[in-house]
Amino acid sequence: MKLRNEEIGLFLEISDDLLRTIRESGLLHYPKEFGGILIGNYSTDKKIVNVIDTLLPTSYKSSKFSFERGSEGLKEQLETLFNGAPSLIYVGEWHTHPDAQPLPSGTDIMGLTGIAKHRDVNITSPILLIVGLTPASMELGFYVYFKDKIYRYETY
Amino acid sequence: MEDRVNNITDAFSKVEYVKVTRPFVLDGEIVKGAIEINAEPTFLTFELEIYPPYPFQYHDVETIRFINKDLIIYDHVNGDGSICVHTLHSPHLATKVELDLNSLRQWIVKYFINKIKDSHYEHIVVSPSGTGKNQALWFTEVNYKFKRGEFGQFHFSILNTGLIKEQAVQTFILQEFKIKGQKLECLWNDSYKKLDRFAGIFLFIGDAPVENRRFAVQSWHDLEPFVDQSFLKYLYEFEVNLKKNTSKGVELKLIIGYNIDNDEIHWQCINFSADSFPNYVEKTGPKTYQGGFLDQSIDWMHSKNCSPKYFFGRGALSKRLTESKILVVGIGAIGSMLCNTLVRGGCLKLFINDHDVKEPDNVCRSEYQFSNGMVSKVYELRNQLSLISPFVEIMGNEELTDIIKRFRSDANWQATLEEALNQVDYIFDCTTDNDLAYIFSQLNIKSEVINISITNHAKELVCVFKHDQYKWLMEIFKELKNDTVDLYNPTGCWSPTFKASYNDIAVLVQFAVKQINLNLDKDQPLRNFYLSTSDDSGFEIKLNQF
Amino acid sequence: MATDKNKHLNDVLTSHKVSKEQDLLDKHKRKRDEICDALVEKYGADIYSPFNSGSFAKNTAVNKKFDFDLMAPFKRNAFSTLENMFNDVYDFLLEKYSSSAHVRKQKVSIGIEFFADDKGDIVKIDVVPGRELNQDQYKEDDKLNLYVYSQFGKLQSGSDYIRSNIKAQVQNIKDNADRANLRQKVRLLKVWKLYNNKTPKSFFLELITIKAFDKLEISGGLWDRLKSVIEYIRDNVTTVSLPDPGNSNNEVADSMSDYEKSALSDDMRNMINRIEENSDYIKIYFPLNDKFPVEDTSNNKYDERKVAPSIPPPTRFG
Repeated sequence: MKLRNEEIGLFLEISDDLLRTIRESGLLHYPKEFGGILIGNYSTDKKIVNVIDTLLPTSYKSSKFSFERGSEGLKEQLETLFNGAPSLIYVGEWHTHPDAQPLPSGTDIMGLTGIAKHRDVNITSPILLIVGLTPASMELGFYVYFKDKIYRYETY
Repeated sequence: MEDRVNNITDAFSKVEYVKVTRPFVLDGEIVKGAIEINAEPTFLTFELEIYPPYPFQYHDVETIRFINKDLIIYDHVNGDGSICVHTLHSPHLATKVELDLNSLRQWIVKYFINKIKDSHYEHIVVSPSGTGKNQALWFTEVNYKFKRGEFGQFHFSILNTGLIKEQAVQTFILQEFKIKGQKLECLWNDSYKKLDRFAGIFLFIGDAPVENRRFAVQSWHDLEPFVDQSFLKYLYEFEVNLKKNTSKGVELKLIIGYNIDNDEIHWQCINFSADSFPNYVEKTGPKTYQGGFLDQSIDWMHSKNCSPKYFFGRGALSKRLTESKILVVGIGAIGSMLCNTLVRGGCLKLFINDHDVKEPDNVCRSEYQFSNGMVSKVYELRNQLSLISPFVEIMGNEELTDIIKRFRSDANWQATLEEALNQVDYIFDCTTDNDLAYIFSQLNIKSEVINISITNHAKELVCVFKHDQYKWLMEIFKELKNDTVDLYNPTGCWSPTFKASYNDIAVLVQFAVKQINLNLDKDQPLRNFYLSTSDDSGFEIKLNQF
Repeated sequence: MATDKNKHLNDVLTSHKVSKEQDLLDKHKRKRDEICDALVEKYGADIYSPFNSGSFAKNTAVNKKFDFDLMAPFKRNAFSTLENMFNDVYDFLLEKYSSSAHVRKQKVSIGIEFFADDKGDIVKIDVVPGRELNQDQYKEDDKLNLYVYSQFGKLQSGSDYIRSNIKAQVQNIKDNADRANLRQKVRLLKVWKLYNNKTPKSFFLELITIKAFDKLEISGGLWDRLKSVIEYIRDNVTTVSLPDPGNSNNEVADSMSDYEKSALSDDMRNMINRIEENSDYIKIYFPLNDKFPVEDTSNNKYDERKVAPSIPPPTRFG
């Protein structure tokens, strides 16, 4: 799946397989929220983010209306991925909105902003995938934090 | 010359419906004879006069004359009984004779046998004579319905004196009628109304003063049936008063009005000397008098209805323009040509603006004259335009653009300006001043703003209308790659101007006015356009519309 | 320098996105909801749920001028005549809004133009009253009769109403929306219309664009695709038939005179000629919205403060 945001001229690519994986993980926790982090890399010109995989959290709290991802064990996994070939890095987050639209809540926006500004995070534009999830359907909302604002990607 | 008489005789004898009743002979330079035309069921005879240029025309008149004085009461017959025939051109005598005879026969069938009356009005035939021969009166309609028998004073002015064939000719214009304390003015603009005025006498008689249907009476005596005693009394009193007051040798004018088609009034003018009034008075009883006219010939003058419908009758611009108020800002080469075209095309209300002074080097490519010397462009053009059209009202201003720029940030002034500009329907901006175009585009006005400018060497003319004018102007000029290096700098770098001749500019200005006029006349949307020229294979102008 | 026509058109679409005017959009929505509630409160059981028609519903809006239409479907027995319906709704809206808006009768709608607020924003909403054909039939067929306000002359001689299925009109452009982004072309033509002071009705442009997509193989870059539509209009506007998807007896092509059609054809011809002659002209035919300049995105990238793994902190989402 290929997406872009025209206004800022940035692109995103993600495989259908990975989306299927995410959906299945989400459904396991339905009707509670669930999520994880997104792993991938940037194109040479840094215009495209390739989302390649997800890491699911080992520690988290979730309910029908919220999800809090812990960070236990992440550091080791991410360092290993970074040193691998090809090198993979943290590119963003995903979580589900059971029975709701994939629109970012205030908490979501604050969360993403917090990540972008965190001293242990080296990327400036983390992405956020929200999955509007029901047992029968899935609606996706891809967002990116770019220069203090949140933009939504669109398919093209 | 014998040959010519023979050739003519041959040519006539070849036409079957013609019989030569008196053989052609040479009388001086003119070949004369008589013929009979068989136009079943009738025969008509004509005296014939054939002049030396025949078969060519001379001053647009045929050089063959078919004369029959008995036919004078029919249409298209001149005062001397010659039939007015116009035929096709032919340089061959025999062919021309045949064409002319055909045309004569058609006249007989149409006007003599079938007695057809033309639907268009044909003016009565007046032959200016005597002192009236070299005088003309031009008038316009006035807003008044004259009653039969109405008379009084009118005022006229001398328009100009010129020469025709070495003879001085005077033209007068009718200024106003004075009726019951009311002044009924002709439609001339103020500069003509300001001319010195003289008094004359008018008389409205209703029917044209003619004999034989179409020929103006030639003797005062024959005019008698058209006037009543009250007028003759008035004329007599006028004479008495005049003799009390003024010198001898004064010429007087009597104008006689009558109805022609469509409620229109025409005036014929008679010139006569104050020393010899054409009327007399007889005592018919102890206290009763009877007036009359002497049997003396009338000096008819030339007269012409100059009302706008005739003045602009041969061709005018669209009513959308002529009935509008128009402001032209910038009257250099483009603006002055535009004004000229608008005024000749019938526009009646013009405002012109320019801060500039005319210099001698402006003359070669704009509508200015050397003879006027150093003068503001507004002053000179205003006069020029008024010389062209007696109907145009022109207001001039030399400061508008300066004021617009100086006060543009003042909100009150902006409102005043918008209100002022809303008084006109069209604003032509011919200043080639981008600042001004910018300011105009910021104003909120109803008037259509038309910006006309040309690129150097008159390679292109650009015409942009109001909507987003500034943006379009900038964009189009950017594309046209106007050469701003090879400019003409006659007086140093402070007054560069584009290089182009009168001809270069006029051909584009006329094209542009034609296009704008077409759009307006057909109620088409006004589309921005530019005219591009090329001279690669002959001169071409291409219209590029947006 | 030549303009990249595809990129420019893309920027035009971006700078005219309604989302850029979120504030104004929200104001419109709030007003619309308020009017909707007022109508429901006033007419109670005589009215079905009012719904959006117009470009918002069709997703063809541009942010330069919002056209918010609110369709008010009345029951057959609510009014004895369509004129009564039209006047009653007008009187109601006039009474309610005359102190805060200009309320006027328009061709088939009642226009409410609110006075500028403290930010200078003007909200304009058109309420289109319609009446079902027979009592309770609307639920079955979605059909409504509209009243044509006579100041504008008779639309169809001999009838003072247009029978239309507005829902079908909206659905029509929604259904067609996938095909090579037809809605993009409609938006671009609206931009052209708005900035160039042109008169064709948006509905007309929508239908003829759909027709062009029907008839043509539309492919290539954004300019090529738009050009195909423009050429189609140029060549066919004077003869094309455009039945109203809401009422096949209603010929939308008749809403423009022959004269207007040939002017539109000329506009299309001139536009293509000029743009093909010089690509820069595309910028004046299809300008960006000055209010929302499209930023140069060529320097934007997914930046990294340093090349090292990022360790995201624990984070809560909602």
